[in-house]
Amino acid sequence: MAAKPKKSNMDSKKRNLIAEYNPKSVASEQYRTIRTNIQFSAIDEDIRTITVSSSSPGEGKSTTAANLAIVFAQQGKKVLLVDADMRKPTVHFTFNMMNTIGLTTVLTRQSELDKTANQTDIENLDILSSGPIPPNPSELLSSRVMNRFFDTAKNMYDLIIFDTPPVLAVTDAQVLSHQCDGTILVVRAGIADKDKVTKAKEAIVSAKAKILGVVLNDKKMKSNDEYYYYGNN
Amino acid sequence: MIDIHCHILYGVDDGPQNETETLALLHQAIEDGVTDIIATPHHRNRHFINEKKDVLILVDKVNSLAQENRLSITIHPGQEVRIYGEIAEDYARDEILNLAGKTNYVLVELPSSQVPAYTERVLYEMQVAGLIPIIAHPERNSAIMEDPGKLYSLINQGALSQVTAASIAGDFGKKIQKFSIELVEHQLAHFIASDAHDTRHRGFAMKRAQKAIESAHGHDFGVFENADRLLKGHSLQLNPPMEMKTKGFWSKLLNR
Ligand SMILES: Nc1ncnc2c1ncn2[C@@H]1O[C@H](COP(=O)(O)OP(=O)(O)OP(=O)(O)O)[C@@H](O)[C@H]1O
Ligand SMILES: [Mg+2]
Repeated sequence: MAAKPKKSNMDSKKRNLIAEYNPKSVASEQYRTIRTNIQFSAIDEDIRTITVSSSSPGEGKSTTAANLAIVFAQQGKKVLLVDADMRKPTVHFTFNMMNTIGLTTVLTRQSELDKTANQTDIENLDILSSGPIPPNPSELLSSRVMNRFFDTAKNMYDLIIFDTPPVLAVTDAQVLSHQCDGTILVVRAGIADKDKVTKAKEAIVSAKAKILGVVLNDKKMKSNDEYYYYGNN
Repeated sequence: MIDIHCHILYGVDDGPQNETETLALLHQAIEDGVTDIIATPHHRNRHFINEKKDVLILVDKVNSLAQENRLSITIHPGQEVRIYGEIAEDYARDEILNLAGKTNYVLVELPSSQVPAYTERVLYEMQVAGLIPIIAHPERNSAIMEDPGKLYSLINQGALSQVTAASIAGDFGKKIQKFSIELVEHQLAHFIASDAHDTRHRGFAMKRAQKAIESAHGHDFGVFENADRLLKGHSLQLNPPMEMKTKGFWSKLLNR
């Protein structure tokens, strides 16, 4: 007896990767706008590493990180999207890949980055899923462990984008922000709590990290759900 | 249909005790639409030890038994491994069997009333060793029923789970039926398997389970296709797990 294919499954994946599957949509255009804003946010220094986070769960970090990675790759940059959300890893689901090796196995030196990162159907875009989640995942993101990772990854890629847990849930996003060239804070319109967003911003600033901008996600526009960008603040 | 959890080998655990009982189960399996069974005798629970080498021998015997009786069904080797600290090490020592003897999946059984504190560590070590743990019948673990968040964190951490067909079909009562369907809906269960032990009390209920889940949703969340993919060595189609709300005081009271 054959099981029915899970149609809704693939559809939702395509919706999540809109910059790839529907590059002419308004949303894809917005992601390209964010890309340009990021590139122009630093004149004298190249942004090579970016943390994508938010104050609270479900604001659109993973969606934003994945689509940003796609639009940078479309521009010809060699991009690595890293799932550093060890609280709720989803990148391997979005790109339909196994997660038996990934960031954690690279950081614990059980696998090498070049053999662990997965190529995608999208040119120039590689994915590093989270890997198996150890009981105390935060320890792995300390700069002591991460330094070596940054050295290797920067040699292989032009841009490394990290999907992370919410800033206010665990310290991981703060810790990573500190080690990256810039941070993008995703704020979901109508859902995000103003005080929490302010707190998250303060936490990132106190980690001596640079906020490149705030993405206002899911702002209702006419009939569509789209993306806005606020620029530097 | 592929059954990834079944006590089909005789004389090794609380499943069939002799060839006749195994034959009866095989007949029931075929009637229920099953073409392939992964034999998963208990291993390392309090009563039974069934190491890899012994399982392989008995699987051959049962395949011959099926052939002699002209039954078109294939048995593959496996184990239902009770969770303990050294699963990854013992796998490396060749004592533990993956499902079908050729995949990265290992069926893991938790105690019935708790999720031991060391579970996360053991499942992590298995994954680091390249294995994907599949938690057997989480819907029958009382600690998980009380707090589904316990299962959510294990799935989030990379484990998969298998609910029992009879649970989905309602044979263990409405409460377990509702809970097991909810686990599938929330992507917290990825396979449905028989866990058949005997033809009378714990038999096959795959078709009834499929009906139950399809009548509730119009589709089956890919739980049967996943078993097919597992056996063929294809990668599974998975979605992120969703957190299940812990039952509040009133709904708990009303559900009892
Ligand atoms: N602009 C949008 N329009 C419609 N749906 C969206 C939008 N942004 C995100 N979503 C949906 O909202 C859900 C949460 O998004 P996503 O997973 O990107 O958030 P997240 O911040 O990574 O969440 P988590 O904190 O759980 O990691 C997903 O189902 C996603 O498809
Ligand atoms: Mg996310």
